[in-house]
Amino acid sequence: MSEENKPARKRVGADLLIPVVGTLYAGYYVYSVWDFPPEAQRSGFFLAALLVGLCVILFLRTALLHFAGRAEWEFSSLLGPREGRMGRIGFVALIFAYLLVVRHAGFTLTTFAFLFAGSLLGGIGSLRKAAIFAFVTAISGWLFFIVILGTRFPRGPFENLVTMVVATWN
Amino acid sequence: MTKRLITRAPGLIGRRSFLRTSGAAVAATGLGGFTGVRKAFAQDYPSRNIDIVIPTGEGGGADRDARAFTSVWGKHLNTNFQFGYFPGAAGQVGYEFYMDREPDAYSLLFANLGPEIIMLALQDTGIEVGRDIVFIQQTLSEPMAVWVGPNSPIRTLEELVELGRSRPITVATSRLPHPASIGMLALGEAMGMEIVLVPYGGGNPTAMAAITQETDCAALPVTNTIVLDDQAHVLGLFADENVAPEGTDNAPTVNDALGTSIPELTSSRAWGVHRAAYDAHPDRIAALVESMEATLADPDYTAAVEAAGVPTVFIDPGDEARAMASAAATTELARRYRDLLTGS
Amino acid sequence: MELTAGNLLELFLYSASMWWVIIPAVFIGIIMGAIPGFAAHNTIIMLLPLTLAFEADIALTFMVALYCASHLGGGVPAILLNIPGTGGAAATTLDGYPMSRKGLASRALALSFVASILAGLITSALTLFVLPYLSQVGFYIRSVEMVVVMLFGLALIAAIAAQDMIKGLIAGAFGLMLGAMGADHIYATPRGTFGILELFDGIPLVPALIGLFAISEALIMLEEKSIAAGHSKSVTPSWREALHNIGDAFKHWFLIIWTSVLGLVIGVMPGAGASIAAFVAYQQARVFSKTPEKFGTGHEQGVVAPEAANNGVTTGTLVPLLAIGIPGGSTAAVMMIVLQFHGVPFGPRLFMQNPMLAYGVIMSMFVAYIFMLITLFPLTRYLSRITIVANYYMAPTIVAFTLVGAFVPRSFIADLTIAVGFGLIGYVARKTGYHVAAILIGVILGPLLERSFLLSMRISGGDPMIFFSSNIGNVLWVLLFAMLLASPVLKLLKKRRSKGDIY
Repeated sequence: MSEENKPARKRVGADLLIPVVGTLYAGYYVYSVWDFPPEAQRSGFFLAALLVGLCVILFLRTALLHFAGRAEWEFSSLLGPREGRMGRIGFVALIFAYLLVVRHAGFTLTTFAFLFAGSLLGGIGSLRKAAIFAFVTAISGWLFFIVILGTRFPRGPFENLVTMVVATWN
Repeated sequence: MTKRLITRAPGLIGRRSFLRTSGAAVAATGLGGFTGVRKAFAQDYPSRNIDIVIPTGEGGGADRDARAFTSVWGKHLNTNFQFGYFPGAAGQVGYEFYMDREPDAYSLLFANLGPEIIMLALQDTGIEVGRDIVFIQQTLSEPMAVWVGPNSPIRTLEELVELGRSRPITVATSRLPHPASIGMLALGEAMGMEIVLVPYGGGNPTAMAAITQETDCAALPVTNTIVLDDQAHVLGLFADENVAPEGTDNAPTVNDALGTSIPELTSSRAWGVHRAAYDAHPDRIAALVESMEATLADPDYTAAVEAAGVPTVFIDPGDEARAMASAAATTELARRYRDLLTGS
Repeated sequence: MELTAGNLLELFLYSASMWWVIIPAVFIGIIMGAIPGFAAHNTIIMLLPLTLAFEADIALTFMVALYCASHLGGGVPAILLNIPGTGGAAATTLDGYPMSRKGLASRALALSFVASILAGLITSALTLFVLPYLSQVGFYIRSVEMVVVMLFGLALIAAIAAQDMIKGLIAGAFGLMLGAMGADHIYATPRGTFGILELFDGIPLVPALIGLFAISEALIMLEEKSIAAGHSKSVTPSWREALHNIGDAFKHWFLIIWTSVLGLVIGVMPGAGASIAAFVAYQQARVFSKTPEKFGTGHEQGVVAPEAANNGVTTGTLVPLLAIGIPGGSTAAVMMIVLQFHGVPFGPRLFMQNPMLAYGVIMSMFVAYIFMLITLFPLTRYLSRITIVANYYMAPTIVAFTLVGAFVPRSFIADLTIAVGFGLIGYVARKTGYHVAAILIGVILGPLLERSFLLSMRISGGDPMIFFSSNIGNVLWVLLFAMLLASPVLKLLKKRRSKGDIY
């Protein structure tokens, strides 16, 4: 947005999240190098001071806006538009589930389940379409990443089964 | 002369054979996911690929030497080798990741007994040689060298020492916990010079620093300089004798040139396994050692080492006792210079 | 060795006769470059069993072609999905993606391809003639000069931050702080890593890139039906329009020439690379543009400059390897291993023993770029359709596949978590007005800057005057300050001149 049509009240709150996290990390970083030789500390101290300094300016700016009555506090913009919000939160949860499951279930099964559930949460609207999409994509991914490229991505029951079947051909 | 002359080793793929056998080639690499399978029923061990952990980056000296070894080792041990690179924190990352691997003798560590042992001695890793890792076979061993770039005004060790008495000498090294660094510190101590070690974090950037004369000289394992040919002028070696005079400008040893008595400083490549695997699977360890010894005795290995630019005099087969003794000697050295190397 | 016209022709024909290896390499390179995490050197490592089985010159041609093509491919997802395939394409997202959002994906792709290919042709041809001189650059670039080069790249943070300066600077400083994570450069003691071993070597770039760009983008994508929603008619151009787009791209020939040469020179510096070159080129193009305020909104020059620069780097990065025998980047390092395996030495010995192989490497690049011309039309015309695929397909697929990319470079399961962590940081940053590109610049350049800074200080015994001790360094400092001042001065001048003017 340009300078001219600045709204009278500025939305603040959610935009403090990154500075707060940054300040916390800077604090932790300084703590972690406290006993180190100077050469290992120097740049960390400098960067921490820079980051915290900039964050303090932003905090002050926000405080001034607040006391001038021009701050509108809100955090909900973080979650995006209301429509489909639950689906998107579910999608984030699904990504975490992926991280937990993938090392046990392997690439193909995890990817299939993830794509199936993910496309439903994204609003595909049809179980059949979701299943076909997930199946085709997971199998293509398996062919490409595991079979052709031989990446060491975690293998699971599906990959092991295929390996066993292939082994019996010889 | 316009043809790009390349000696064609038998068995390499050219255009015709490519078009003829491309299917097979694609199968060989493309079906990476299955490569371990085919050999599975031929024997008990190894029944799948062997994972090789390299605690430095790809394209470094360890990568070069490990590849030269495995290119011949496959003849003597019926399996494929997969490389993983785990650089970071002077090798600590690689060692810790290696320790996290299943101790089943399917994961091997390609160690550099010089710098990495020093790292284990100085850094708080909780890993102890002997208790956690056993080095079962030494393959190569090379001394440390101090050298300068082609345009450096310094041409001899004596000139370096003379300069070092008037001002601090900057020395590019791969990292502080390294036998070459220890060598330079010992040299400085013996000759009354102030040595400033500048760690560049790898052989390649270290070499570049000497070539651009960003530092007065560099200290590295001698192969690095031999590979660089006339981009490097060797001043001296931290060895009892110069066994590779052709590649090293017939440089003297430091002790000969300056009358010092600095111990021989080498870095030796060696294969390491988990102690737990060593204890639980003596049969597998025996198979590994036997095939490693066969590889080291194979003329093809000598050829592969030579092709990689490493003088074959550095092939230095050593059994477990020798490798472990070399590790113990290095640990002792690291303790002596602990303060200078850790900045404490 | 002197290159005669006859020599050159023969080299060209010889390289062209390698079509059977260049075409598949270009194909693989474009695809792999477009998948974040794979890039050239990971792909070459994966294909090592194949490359090692080839004769040395074939293997080298294959790797070189794949490397060049991967830089072309890296721009594709940057433009279409706001996800750079390689670090070198991160700057391309800044204007490429806004173009896609406006339904101009095909045009942006044409710009990117034309810039990439022309840059590759120009720099490889140039390198053939000036290789002996170019290799000298490596001899004069030390840590001191590198510090200034990094600062050129960092200056982009300020440019990106133009909208809300304080937030832009916070994003950059946050990136730098994260970039300072990991073992220090002197004593190798881990700092700020929470004791997590996977972070000891610093923030892994690929997972950070994938998190900041791909995962955060996937989360935001779900808010809309498709990327170019509302522009679906204009997305797939007719053949005529595609031709027209390509033709138009050539109008940027001057920008392409100078940013590609900039990329070439930065590529020659050991340790610098495509991402630095692209950041610097974007920043420079913006400074010297007549319309700097349009950068970041889908401006054509903002696509051309970084793409020309990152393809200029491909030639440059091989120069230290060929001339000195020391690889300037990770891809060059892998190439060196393959050639060592074949007993072919790099460095001065290569020029003595096998000069035609040395020049042949550069010629192979030239020829590879010619072959890439063929891909131009179909890619420009059809790829842009991705922007109208429904996001409920795209978002889960992007997450699932880019997580594999996050895993590939180091094979650490923890890198998946790191990528998701950066995904959340990226999401919050985008939602609250912080630029993810500014964070990424900090993460990439921070550790490089710190390293060069510390090495210089150690060499000088702690005397900061070392940074002004070299002629080349001083020239670079002057240029840096001139550039920083040029922006506001040019703005002021233009304001005066165009009083009353309307765009």
